[in-house]
Amino acid sequence: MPGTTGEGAPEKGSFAALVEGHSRLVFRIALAIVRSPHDAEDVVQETFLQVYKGNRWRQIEDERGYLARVAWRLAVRQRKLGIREQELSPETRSREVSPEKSAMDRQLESWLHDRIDALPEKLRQPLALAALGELSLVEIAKVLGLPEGTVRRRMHTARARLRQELMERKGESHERRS
Amino acid sequence: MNDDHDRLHGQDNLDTLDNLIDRALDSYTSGEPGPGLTERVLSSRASVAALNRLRLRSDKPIWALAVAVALLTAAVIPLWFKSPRPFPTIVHPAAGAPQDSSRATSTFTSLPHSHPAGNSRASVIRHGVREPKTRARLASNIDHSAIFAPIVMKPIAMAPIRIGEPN
Repeated sequence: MPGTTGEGAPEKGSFAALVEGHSRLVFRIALAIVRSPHDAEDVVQETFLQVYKGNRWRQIEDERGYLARVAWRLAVRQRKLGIREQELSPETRSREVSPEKSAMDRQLESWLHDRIDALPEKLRQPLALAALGELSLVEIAKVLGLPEGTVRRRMHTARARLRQELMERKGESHERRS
Repeated sequence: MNDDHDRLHGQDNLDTLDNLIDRALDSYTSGEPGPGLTERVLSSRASVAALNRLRLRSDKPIWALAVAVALLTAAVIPLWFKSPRPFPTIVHPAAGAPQDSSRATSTFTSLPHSHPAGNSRASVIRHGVREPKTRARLASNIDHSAIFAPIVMKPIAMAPIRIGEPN
């Protein structure tokens, strides 16, 4: 395959090296937005193809930031189009919740996922991107095209809403028990 | 004492909620690409590159043809406009035509071919009229029209201006 060395490892500076080096990050960003592994893989393919077709990938200075921005934009578009169901496959669900967790924990976590999904996009996206743990606040701000302060405020608001909903849920369960 | 206890309890409660949210966010964004994603991206890249090469190759004859047509057009258009246009020699087969057509022809030949007025008349009559009578009338009108009369420049007598002398 062009762009690979004799041993099969991608040649440094080649397109294959770019894909190999960043496909995981691009996938995780896409997954955080589209919430479906199949759609996330489509976004990964589209991201790299777009970068390749643009024919400027050799001139990219900040590869991580550039790819993150392209992936985020395409993922947001994909989510808006709603091409496929946003249900996670059983395989992914089992990966994200360990088997030793109690049924109650799983239920609560699933409920929280639904609440995160229900957040407005402008609050959900910075929260999800931050939760990846791969991008700094500055990078998230660049990806979203927003000032850092706005991103921080939105993340804070999103967490506050989730906290509020959790408290309401706890209150409701207490009332039910009493 | 009770306030402190409540505050501490409230803080514990908030920490617990934050921990719950953090855990939920961790699992919310967890997920790894399936095996072979890099290979799939690279193979689709390769097919796009092959498609581009093929398109470029198949487009070549079309481009060459387009360029040839453009060049030919660019060469022919100026020649078309520069070429001398023949005087009209249309003779209507209907009766009475010889007199009228001779009038028209004489009108054209009365001026040299390169004369702008001659060219104008020729084009007016060639493109304008097919009927011999109308053509003859039009030619006569043109002959008497001031528009087609040769321009005569009369010399203007000017006395030289002398500075410092009284008028």
